[in-house]
Amino acid sequence: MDAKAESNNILVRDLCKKFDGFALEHVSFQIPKGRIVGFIGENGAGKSTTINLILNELKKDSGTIEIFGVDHSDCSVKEEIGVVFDECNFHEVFTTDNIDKMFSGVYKSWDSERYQEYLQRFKLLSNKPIGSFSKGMKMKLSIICALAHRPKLLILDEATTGLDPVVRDEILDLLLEFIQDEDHSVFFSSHITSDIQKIADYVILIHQGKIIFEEQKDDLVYHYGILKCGKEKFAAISPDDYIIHRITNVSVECLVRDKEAAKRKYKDVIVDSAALEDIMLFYVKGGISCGD
Amino acid sequence: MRGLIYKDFSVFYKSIDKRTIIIVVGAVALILYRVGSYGGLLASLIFAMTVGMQNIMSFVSDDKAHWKKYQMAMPLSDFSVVASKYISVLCTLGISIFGSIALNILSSVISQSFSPEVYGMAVFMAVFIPLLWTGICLPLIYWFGVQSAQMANMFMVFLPILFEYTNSLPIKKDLNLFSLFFLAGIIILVIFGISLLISVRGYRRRQ
Repeated sequence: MDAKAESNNILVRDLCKKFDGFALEHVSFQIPKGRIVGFIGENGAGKSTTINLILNELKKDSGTIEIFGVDHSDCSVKEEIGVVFDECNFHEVFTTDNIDKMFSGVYKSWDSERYQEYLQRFKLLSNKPIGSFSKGMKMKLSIICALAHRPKLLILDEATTGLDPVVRDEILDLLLEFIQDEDHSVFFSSHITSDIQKIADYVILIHQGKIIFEEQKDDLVYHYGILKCGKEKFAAISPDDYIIHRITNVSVECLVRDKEAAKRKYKDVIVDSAALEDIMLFYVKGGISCGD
Repeated sequence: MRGLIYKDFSVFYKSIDKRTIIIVVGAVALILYRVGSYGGLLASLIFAMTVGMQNIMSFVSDDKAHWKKYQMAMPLSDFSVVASKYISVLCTLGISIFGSIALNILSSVISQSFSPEVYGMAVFMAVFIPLLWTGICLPLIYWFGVQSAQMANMFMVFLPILFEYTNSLPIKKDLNLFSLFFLAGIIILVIFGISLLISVRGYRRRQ
């Protein structure tokens, strides 16, 4: 196993997949050990397609995907992956006890004690059918099941979408707890950028099937900024100092890579901090890239 | 694989619809009352069909929960996923056989008659019909989706109608039960084997 595969739980290189009207083009990224990686992008950007390809649920056209240094098509790697999709996939007639019995016959490393501990912690009743659970309870159950077989890698595909802030916060806490082991990783796809901003170490933005950036979250939220100025002052701003600009009715907004440097250089303009959502919107809704 | 067999058998058992029970009990009572000495046989046919259809309904339940997507993220080979379905169907045969014997005993009591050939044929149907039915429907599900199996399920209701109106019970006076079961075993093995292979190929397909 090479050094790159050793330090990453997922390694994706030049991944391509073509559908009618949509294509994932040369997607490359990595999920380092001990890190939470947020995967953001608008609906239809290619997040779920990428995850389905990683899980070998879709057939890739080209490229390589390695999980724990092994090709992703080897089904034994899934023993150490916990997966949570955007909906609860358990049959509504089941109880949590049924799920315990079922998974103990699926995962070699299924830990019933740990599962029961989590159920008690999240107050999920064992004798009630899942059909009577709220959406938040169902998602908590899905995450508990993903954790109870002691995986090294958690993959969450829009798992917090549609949940209230309290449940989302509980789930994020659980992820932070999971990541305390430095061999563990979380790959967390969401379009709720505030969740990603809260817990991710790295952020990958995908747009129209292409990776736009793969950056450390702190670099994005502490250094990126939005420079706002009037149209006449915009002419004085060097294209080297911003990434994208967009023209509104009253002003011009530029996404800058180093807000402090921009503040020092351009005294008479406003430079605000950029939240992850702002950065995503700049790239997704468009603007004019300084290279254009 | 053990976990999936448990899951499938549990779904089978838990998703039995009360309305189905009422309809089956009503139909069976009517048959036992009307048909006479072959009432147990015809009731067994209805019961075996119900078991076969219930197996298909449990696959519909999988579809509703988008189970396949979740299952594909588990450390299970394509073959073991499909094979577990077939094994769970085999597990439900116990219910079918038990029901068949119970219905024939009831029929014997009502009609005051006993024929070992009829009992043998009833047990044969209790095994053969659910297996034949799932043997046909599972490849349809894995290749064309659950709806195709639901459509096929609809044709199954014509079976007892045909059975009743033609009045052509396939029982001969010199019937040899041993050869009947042997023949049934061979047929089931062939149908199930071919069906399993077709289903595995269907499940393996990735978009």
